[in-house]
Amino acid sequence: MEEVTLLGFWPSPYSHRVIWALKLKGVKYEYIEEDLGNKSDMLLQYNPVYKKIPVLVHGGRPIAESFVILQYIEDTWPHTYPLLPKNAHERALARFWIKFGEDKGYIIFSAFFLVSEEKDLGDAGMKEVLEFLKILEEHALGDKKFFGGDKIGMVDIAYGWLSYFFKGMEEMRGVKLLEPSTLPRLHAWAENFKQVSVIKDNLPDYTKLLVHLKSVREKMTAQNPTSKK
Amino acid sequence: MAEENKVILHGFWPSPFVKRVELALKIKGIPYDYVEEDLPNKSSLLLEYNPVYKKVPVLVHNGKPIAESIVILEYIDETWKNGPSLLPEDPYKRAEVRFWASFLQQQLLQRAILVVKSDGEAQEKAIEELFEKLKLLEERIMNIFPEGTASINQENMGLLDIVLISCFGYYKVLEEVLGFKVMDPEKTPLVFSWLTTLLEIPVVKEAIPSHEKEVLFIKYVRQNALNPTAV
Repeated sequence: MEEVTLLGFWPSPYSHRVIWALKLKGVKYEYIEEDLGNKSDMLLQYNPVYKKIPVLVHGGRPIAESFVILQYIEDTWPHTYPLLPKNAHERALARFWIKFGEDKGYIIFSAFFLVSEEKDLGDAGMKEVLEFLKILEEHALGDKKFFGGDKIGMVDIAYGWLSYFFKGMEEMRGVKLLEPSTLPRLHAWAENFKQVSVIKDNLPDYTKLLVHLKSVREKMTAQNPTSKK
Repeated sequence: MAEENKVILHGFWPSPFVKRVELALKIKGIPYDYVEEDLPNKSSLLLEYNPVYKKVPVLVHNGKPIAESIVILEYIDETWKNGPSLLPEDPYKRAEVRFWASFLQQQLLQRAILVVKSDGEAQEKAIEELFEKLKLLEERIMNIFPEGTASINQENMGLLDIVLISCFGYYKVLEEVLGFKVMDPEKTPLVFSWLTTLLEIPVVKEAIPSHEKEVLFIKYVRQNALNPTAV
């Protein structure tokens, strides 16, 4: 059995995607906490292209980029807890929705972290975020309990940030987007996802997370003094 | 019987993303119908098949649509087992292909597009970043292809080769429009030789549109981006 190591960062949703996948598959691993202000030589050696976490190291060989890692985990441990559907068309749909989330990541990031003034829901950036959430609810989730159907799968893991980290982002910005009144099915999904035992047992402390998110935003808005109002 | 395995590709001839799917279908010898979309005037079918992005390519297999080029390539590889595999069997090698395909797409192609669509300082910055990323790829090629790239052919080419062709197969067109070398054999000899090996493969040669047609199109894209009102 080759050793599995995960280089991660405690508040990172990308880091958590890999933790959740490994736990669902029952894969034992060693976790190494990276100080992103002071990256280890190991991280720089294992991910020279991007110098980012998460990095999964299996039998001494590194894999970077969380979506690539998730697919690697699925390919390597196929016999326990499938993360993707069996049907090829459904697998394509799962990959499509994960890609959609990656593509729209900048909308979320800029609306929450790059705008320095408190704004109400009339803010153009927040409108785009809401639109993105509505598309997810309508087209990706529909009337299913989870994106993966009755059980969580790779798409749920990929959007896991929305179920827990997003609340911190909303609180930090003073907005409420994911509500039972505005997005009933997606809100229900978020609640259900957090209750899954593997997820519940592997979430960062909320108070600490909020402090961290606020400091990220302060740093980002200080670097972007000309950010839009 | 005629409806079994009916494959339709909705595309747009200059799109690198469509090109990927065309190449994958041709390499695997999958017969398909092609529908050229007029992008300012998208067909209602396209809007129905890809309501989220409203973009090409869309592959329709037995009436079911799939969008996003890399997603389509993985679908093709999983569904048609004849012809060469687009992805390797080994999970680690598959991860490497996916990693570098994403790098080519996000780091290289996006910057190349930005270089085409900008001028002045913005373009200079984009050019600098493009060459920085190309250099990164050059440094890592021996990890990706430990045996080199000289023996790549129609029978063993895969997803990563397809993505490179789609991103830079038209490098001579870019160089003509921009007036400087994008694929320089002196700066990035390994990437250059990988690309030129691929461009010699018959199925690839046939799939690349005419140089003149592409030059006109890229000039139009550049003109449009720099002077949005003057169309």
